[in-house]
Amino acid sequence: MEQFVQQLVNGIMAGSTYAVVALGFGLVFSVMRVVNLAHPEIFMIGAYAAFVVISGLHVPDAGLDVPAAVALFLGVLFVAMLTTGAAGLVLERLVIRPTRGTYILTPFIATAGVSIALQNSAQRLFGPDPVHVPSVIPPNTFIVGGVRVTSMQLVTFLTAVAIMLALRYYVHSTRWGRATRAVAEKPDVAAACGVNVNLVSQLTVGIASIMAGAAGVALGLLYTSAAPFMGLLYGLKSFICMLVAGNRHIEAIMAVGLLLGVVEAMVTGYISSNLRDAIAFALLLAVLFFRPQGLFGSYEV
Amino acid sequence: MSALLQVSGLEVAYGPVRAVRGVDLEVHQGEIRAILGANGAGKSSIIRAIMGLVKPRGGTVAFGGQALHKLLPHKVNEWGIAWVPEGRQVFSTLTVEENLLIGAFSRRHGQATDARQQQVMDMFPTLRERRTQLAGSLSGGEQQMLAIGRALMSNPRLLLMDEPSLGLAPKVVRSLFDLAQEIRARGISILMAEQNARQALRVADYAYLLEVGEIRGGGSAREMEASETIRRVYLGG
Amino acid sequence: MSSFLSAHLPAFWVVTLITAGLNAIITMGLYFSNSAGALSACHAALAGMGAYVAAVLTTNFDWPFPVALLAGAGVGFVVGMLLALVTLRMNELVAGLTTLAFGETLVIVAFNLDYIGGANGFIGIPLQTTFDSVYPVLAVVVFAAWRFDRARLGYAARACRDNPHAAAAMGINVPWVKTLVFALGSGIAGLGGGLRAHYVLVQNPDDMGFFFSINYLIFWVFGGSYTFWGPLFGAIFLTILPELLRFSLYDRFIIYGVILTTIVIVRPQGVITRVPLGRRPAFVAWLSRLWGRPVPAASLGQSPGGR
Repeated sequence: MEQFVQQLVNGIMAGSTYAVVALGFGLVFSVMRVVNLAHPEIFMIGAYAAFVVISGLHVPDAGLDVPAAVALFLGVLFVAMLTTGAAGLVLERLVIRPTRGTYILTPFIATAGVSIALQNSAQRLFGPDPVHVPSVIPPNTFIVGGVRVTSMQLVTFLTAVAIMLALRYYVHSTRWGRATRAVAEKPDVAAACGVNVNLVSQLTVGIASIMAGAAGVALGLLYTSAAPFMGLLYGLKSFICMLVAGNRHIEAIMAVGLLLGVVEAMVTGYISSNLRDAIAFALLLAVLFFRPQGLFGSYEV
Repeated sequence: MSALLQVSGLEVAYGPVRAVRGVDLEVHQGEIRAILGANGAGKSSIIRAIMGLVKPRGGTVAFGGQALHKLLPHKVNEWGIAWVPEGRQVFSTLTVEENLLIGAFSRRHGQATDARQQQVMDMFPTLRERRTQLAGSLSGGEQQMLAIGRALMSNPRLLLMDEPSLGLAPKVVRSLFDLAQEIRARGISILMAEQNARQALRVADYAYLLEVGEIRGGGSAREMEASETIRRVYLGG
Repeated sequence: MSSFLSAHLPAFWVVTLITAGLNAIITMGLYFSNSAGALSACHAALAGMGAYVAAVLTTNFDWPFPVALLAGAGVGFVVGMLLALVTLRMNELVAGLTTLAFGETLVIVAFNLDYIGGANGFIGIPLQTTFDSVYPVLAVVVFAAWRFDRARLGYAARACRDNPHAAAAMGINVPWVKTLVFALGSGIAGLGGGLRAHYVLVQNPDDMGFFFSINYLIFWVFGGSYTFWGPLFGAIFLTILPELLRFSLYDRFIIYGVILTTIVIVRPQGVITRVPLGRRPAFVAWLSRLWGRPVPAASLGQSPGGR
């Protein structure tokens, strides 16, 4: 029973980051019908940004006390989100805006080209091997009711939750969030109601990129490494989360992300860790067979 | 008196297909004008071109003296034109209230929006009842009211209505056109594209006849009702 | 031909040309499969299946190379047919995703099948493929595509792609055409995979993954998906391009990515577009003009809103 709860907790922690990255994919896809293949690379940029800032400041490995550590973490987060947000805006203006609304493969391939360029830029700048990201948060482990949680896991989870709550608030309770939902459903009608669709497009990609950046920082610190290809597997799984959840409700993507994390943790704990990466595909196959529009429904593509 | 809306030489084409060929039309302040014609005649294309949803290949659209044909739809809306699309097209995942609020998107927050929303809900009490319901759960007639209410939220001077009677029950259609008269009474001009010539001519001041992208005739509603061409339209539409 | 080339070109160019030829074969397979409106996101996996089958047959059972290749193609054909049948009733996007999921499933299956080498891949494949085997096969496949385009099946496939309802109304048996065409393309992919396995001498599960399938899709769209010249050009050009960019290992791919993105933005319908058959392709007309030959106006037309 203890192991069950432990794996459940591990799973929720891991799943929260899948959810954040998947939300970025899902946001851009539902609002603009664009699959942004460069999204995982923006996630990677976030992790490298953390690396650059932390090593640049010459922070000793876990040598800070808690308030300083938290301040540093927030600072790194801020810088990374700024960087990835800017990258996302540039991407939107140069690559996504000219190709959106047409055949679905055009932005797909255009962003694929960007992702190839970004992966290789990272290799060129930082080398092909993973770089060590000094962990900022003091590595305490908390034991609550027999369940072990490290401080970094907690920080990652809290960051993810904060982001998801912020996104939900934005989408449901703000004027621009409302406009975003309207554009997702019927862009022409929204435009005729006075919504500047180009601006919504920029906002959406910007927000998705900021989220990816934050997730990148969290993961970079959690695994204390950043690598040029870290986006690939993560991106694929998050993409699958988005497909499984359907693009109608952002809460669905959050739920599926967490679900995937939990199921992966359970399978790793109880069966075998070799199958971990297969879970996502199994889930996808099952959903495609029984409910192809996603578990919670989609807009028409 | 110069026209509120002036369309000259409008050309709309989709690839090699010329949907609208050299169309001239105008709408004066306080008028209801109708574009009549069969399915596929090009009525929707004219409406979309005025709204900025499709870029015309030629011609001009002027509204209160301002050239509109190069503007994006949200700018056209800001200038005072609102669109009631063909087939209602309410935002089904937004609530009734949210639909109305989107209609007023280009206005700033504050009193104007709230007051406007109350006005619209006075006009359509059913919408007030169903304020927090998702728009997708409304009936066809209710959705049409919502679409019109949403368009009115931006305080337009001109309302573009694209086939408003499509898919609606006859009783609902009648009250819809009565509603158009009410809107005109409030000082809002209307340009509507309609297949239902009889109802449209009942309320319009002036009507154009559109065939295969060209204006084949136009005149006051009384003239049109009496003419031979309209018998053709009745048979054809 | 092989020896001629090896004598006159640096070795890595020969490798590049052979790789380009192999990619072209598989991308031509993709051309067939997608010609009726499907979107195969698993062609690398289909090629991989053909590869495993052919490799096992030559290595473990000493089958003659050509027969093993045909067996691989046959398996690809059958599997493609099954996949097409499964996705028949789905809408475009879901069908595409299903092929994606199918491809990844094959990867995982291959990962876990120790008989074919599991995670380490199948090794010990005899070297059978040379320039002299690849390009003749490619020529045959291109010829088949050319005949296909002009045959009833080709027209039927294009009709299904452009407007399935109208096609059905004209009496075309849409499910049959889609299935057949997809299966043909999968068979060709299997053939290409078999050839590749006997060149690279190793077949890994990873080679069948989504990443490689995307590569083929990129060749297909980039080159121009409405005519067989498109995927042919796309595969060869994009395989050779990184070699032409003789910069450092990473810079060349950065530039490759930038070129890919730019061209797809500037020319979303693909580099080579088609004028309705019966008229000369636009670029042939351009060539004629270049040579000073007059081109009758009627033989030019707009490319049909190529997506």
